[in-house]
Amino acid sequence: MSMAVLVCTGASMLAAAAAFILDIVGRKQRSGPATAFSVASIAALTLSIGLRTLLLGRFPLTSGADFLQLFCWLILAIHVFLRMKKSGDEGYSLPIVVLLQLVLFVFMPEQLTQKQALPLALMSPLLGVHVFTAALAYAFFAVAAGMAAVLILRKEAGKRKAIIRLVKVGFACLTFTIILGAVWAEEAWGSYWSWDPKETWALITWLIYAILLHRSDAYSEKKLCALVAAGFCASVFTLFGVSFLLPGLHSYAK
Amino acid sequence: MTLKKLLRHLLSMRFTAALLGLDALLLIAGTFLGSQTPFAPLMFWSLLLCLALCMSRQVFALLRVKGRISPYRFGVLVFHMGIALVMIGAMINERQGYKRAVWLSETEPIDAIAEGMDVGAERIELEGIEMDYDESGALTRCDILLRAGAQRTTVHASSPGRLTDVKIYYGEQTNAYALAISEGDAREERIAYDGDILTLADGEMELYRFLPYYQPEDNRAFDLLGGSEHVLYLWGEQGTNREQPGIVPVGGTASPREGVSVEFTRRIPYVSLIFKYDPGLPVTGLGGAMLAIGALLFLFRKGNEKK
Repeated sequence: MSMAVLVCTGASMLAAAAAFILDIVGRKQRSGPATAFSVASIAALTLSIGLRTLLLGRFPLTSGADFLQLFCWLILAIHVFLRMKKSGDEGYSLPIVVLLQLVLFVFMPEQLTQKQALPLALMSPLLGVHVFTAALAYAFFAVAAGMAAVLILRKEAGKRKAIIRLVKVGFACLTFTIILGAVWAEEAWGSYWSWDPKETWALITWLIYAILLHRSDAYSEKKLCALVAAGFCASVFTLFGVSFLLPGLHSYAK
Repeated sequence: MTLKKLLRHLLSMRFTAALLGLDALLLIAGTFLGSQTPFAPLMFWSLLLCLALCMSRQVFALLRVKGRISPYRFGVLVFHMGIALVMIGAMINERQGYKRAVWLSETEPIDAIAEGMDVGAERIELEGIEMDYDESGALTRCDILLRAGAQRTTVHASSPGRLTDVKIYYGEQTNAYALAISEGDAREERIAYDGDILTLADGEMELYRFLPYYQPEDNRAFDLLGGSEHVLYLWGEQGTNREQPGIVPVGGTASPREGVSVEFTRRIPYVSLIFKYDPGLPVTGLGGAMLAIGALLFLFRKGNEKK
């Protein structure tokens, strides 16, 4: 059942991305199909997350696949919200969502059917808030990266402020994630900060976006986009690279 | 370069961004080279310098603003002050606090954790360990009950306990095993721990704990013993007989070699705990709260930004 939902999700995301590519290739700007397929993807992802919740008896947040589903859901929700507000998101974040879904399909499909007991250290009400704010922060960064691509590839002006605003919201969310993580680490491991690779890379991501926010008025559009891209790469490495390449206290989050 | 120019350069956003970039690069290098690198102090001081510069600039900016102070500008200042307080709290902990890992068994109370540690000048005793498992055998609850004089506290895996100012964290729960080893006429009482290698008079023998919930594929052996939770897994002499380990329940006896018998008399619960005194906690907590408030105020538009 969950596999069928996963296939539907992937198909609707692919359709959304295809509609978006047709959008940018074609001369006429028709955002309707891409947005409609994005909404369909959100519905399919909601169903998939709901099924996982029923299977586990709690909101699914601990495995890599669970996080990816939530991450994709949030990117799509931000994309649709900005589309509705006509705040300039052209949908360049849709290919990112398709890539993330592909990672889920290829590397971790079995995780969606597994029923794992929660490790003792994770049995805390802070789990939900910490993971959710992290996913939200990275989702804002992903949409900002998509917009930066628009700025570079299509040389469209007027996106600068929107990108900075997205980064600002993402930065605030990431700050909350780090603070909540520190409070939780103190409760569970007896230390606010252990220089664990996941913590360190979250801090690196935070520092990159801090540079951007400190110099946002002074940087040219190219420099701004380069920093947004660097920040997003650091986010992706924090999410996936660290879990596989640099084992540490967060190793259960594969 | 005149002093004024130098000051202007030091207080510039460009210099701050360069310091932040340096910190990010040092951290990236640190994650691949290991944490014990000479980069750590450099990173700490550059971040501190960066904060000092940012805060002084923000104070100047606030003083210069005419009329109403925008929430954004105020938020930026509160945010930077929050980071500074978190770092000050960490420095207080580093200098005045302590953190010790301690092993404690049900049979061996401890008098003092470490020099200067005050938990009411009482002996700390492990009163018991309560554990629950789900159907799949996974540990779902582990409560460690501690006593120091009239004070009692419970330490959970996800929430610490407290005795006076000392916070106590869950480390690890394991077991020790009381054994009576007989070789010929000689009988010896021994305490062994998980993974210990028991050395007999003329050779070695490995001792393992066997808990069925950690090795569900070995359930057959568990069933044979009538569901006893704690059994010893005794291997024969190293390099031999590994395929046929002796499985001994509490009160049982095994003979890993001719003329040798090992009686498993009782299990002794053992826990590792972390005792921590954290005098910088109020400062760190205040810093964290200011960081959060500052981050919220970030979401306001800049004072000079047109809506």
